[in-house]
Amino acid sequence: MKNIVLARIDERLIHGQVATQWLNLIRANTIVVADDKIPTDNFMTMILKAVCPRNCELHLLTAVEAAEFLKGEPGNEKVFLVTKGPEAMLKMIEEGCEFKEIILGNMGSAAGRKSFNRNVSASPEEVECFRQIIEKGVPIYQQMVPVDPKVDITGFIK
Amino acid sequence: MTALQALLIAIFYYIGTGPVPFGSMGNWATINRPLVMGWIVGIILGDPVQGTIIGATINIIYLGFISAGGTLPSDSGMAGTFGTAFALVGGLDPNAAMALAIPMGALGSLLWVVTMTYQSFFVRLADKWIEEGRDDLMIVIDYYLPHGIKAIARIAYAFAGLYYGSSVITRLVDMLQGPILDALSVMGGVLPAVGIAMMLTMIFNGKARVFFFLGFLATSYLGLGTIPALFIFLCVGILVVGFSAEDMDAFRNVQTNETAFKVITKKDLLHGWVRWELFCESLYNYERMQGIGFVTAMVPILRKTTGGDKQKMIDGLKLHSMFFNTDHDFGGAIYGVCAAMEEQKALGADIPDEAFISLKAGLMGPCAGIGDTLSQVVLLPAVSVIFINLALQGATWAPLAYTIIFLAIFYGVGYLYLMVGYKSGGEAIIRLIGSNLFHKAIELANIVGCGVAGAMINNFVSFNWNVTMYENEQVVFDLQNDLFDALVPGLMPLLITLGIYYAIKKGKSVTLIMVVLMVVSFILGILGLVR
Repeated sequence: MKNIVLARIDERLIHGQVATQWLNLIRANTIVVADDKIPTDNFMTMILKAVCPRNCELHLLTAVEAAEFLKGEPGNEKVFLVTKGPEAMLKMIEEGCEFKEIILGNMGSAAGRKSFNRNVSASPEEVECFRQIIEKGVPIYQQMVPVDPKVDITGFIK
Repeated sequence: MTALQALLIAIFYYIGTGPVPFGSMGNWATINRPLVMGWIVGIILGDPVQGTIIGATINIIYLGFISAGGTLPSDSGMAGTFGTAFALVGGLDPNAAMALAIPMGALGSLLWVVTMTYQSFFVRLADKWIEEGRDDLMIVIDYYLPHGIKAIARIAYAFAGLYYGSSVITRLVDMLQGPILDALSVMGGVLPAVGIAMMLTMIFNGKARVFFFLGFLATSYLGLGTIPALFIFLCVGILVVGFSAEDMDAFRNVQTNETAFKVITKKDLLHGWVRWELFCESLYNYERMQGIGFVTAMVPILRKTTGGDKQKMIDGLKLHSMFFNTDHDFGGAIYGVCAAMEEQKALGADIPDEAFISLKAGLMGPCAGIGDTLSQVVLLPAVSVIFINLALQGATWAPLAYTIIFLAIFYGVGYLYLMVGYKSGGEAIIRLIGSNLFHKAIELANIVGCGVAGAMINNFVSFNWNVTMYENEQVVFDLQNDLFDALVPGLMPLLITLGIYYAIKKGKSVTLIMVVLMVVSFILGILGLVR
């Protein structure tokens, strides 16, 4: 397994909180965006390449490809892994990836989603993914920025 | 403090948290800063010099606290207002004022969460009026209604807190003479380390780290001030980063769309932009964030592009009131792109709703990634550090100059982005955020920021051991003079700052860190172990 310094679920992928606060604090040098749609989405590919800090290498991969990449020989990479929702994380775990913990950032309100707290809304399917991830022994904490306390989400999804 | 003084301060406190006159971000970054608020409180209470010094001192802690993505770790406005007012009334020194200001900042951040939460209820009403196509009421729901309530609530609690609090403080200070006030000063001497550590969390990475230690050592051994350090590191940073003429390319090769100003006028475009800059966060809430602010800005555009068609207006209002959250200046650029697209649609181009949705949803995060960094990690601390230093020496013009310079840069850049967005579209914005110029500017800011943070330790943090050994009533060993200062002056402040930084890195919450720091330094102060 490669060295994953932060595995994060955040709908907004690489945004203000990530760029200003997380990337420098965890000193990531590799960003992996695991999403089945983004690799073929030219617009998003262009945007993510533009925003990626110059001291980080960017990989835009599907969940399966990302799992293969992460399971590779550890080198100098310090990986910041980000997905839009829990499905891709669960997929990577099923593919044999090991995560110490997952940090949950923002998942916005939308039709079919119920809100847990002010920053996270999820559909029943997404809640089921959270449950399975936790059952597989990977704790999930809600934390927007590093100076916030980590909140275990087990309480939300009961 | 008279009732009139308390009321005036409360009104200015509200203005700092509201959108008028300088805009949501403009007010937050100027009037709401302790540097500026301290000066205003000083004028109202009749001591502008001391007010400015106290405000600037409190501001040091908040240098590294930024508000990204709807979080506010600590409310600097509340800390600056109450900290300065109570310190002036109670005759406290600036360090003790800082100790008093911190809990106020924490309280303010709780009130922020309350506001963000209850404002979600206004979204229901906004949606109802959108459904009815009431474009004229968007400004009412975005600004007049929520701010009518907010102004009354904030002025009321700030007035009560200031008016009744100040008499309590005066009595407290009379009671707590001597060791307790000394201990508060010890506490205030250590607290700026939190601000510096918070700055480090955003910039202490890669080769820039060397400059932090360089900045520290330059002040320890050469006695360099913070402003000279800033300019020296700026020169060094420019050399290290290496700018070139091609870095400006993203601004140069800008194509202008042919439909510009065919349906809307420049006045409409600017009208909507001013609405955006003023009111983008006047109804900030967890459900839509700046969503209602965005639709309010689009109203002048939609009025022209829908040509009086009610159903088109309803569809347009619905489309533009979706969840939206980004940096204020870049938000103006995205608004510009949407205005141009609405204009093209009005001229017959087939632009589906999905095009707007994917553009806004795709761009808002990355634009905040670069935009928040440029405005809050680069611009705000850089301008603040210069004027805080001047203000600490009692320069009462410094807060005013700070305000003018910040707003000029912020809105100058914002106007540039707006025009790039309107004239050249979404891809031009992507080229902008991916431009060498911006990425190099961020790299430069990391180097200068680290250097200045290192320099600030000796200039702003104080912690001196008060441990001496006597022999025949003669001092034979003074821990501070004979060990720490002999080795590296400022070693303890350096260690404290790095300790806080690593605690944050280890995942400790900053509130917990501050409480521990305050308690420990207070106890050391009371015991007389630290002076």
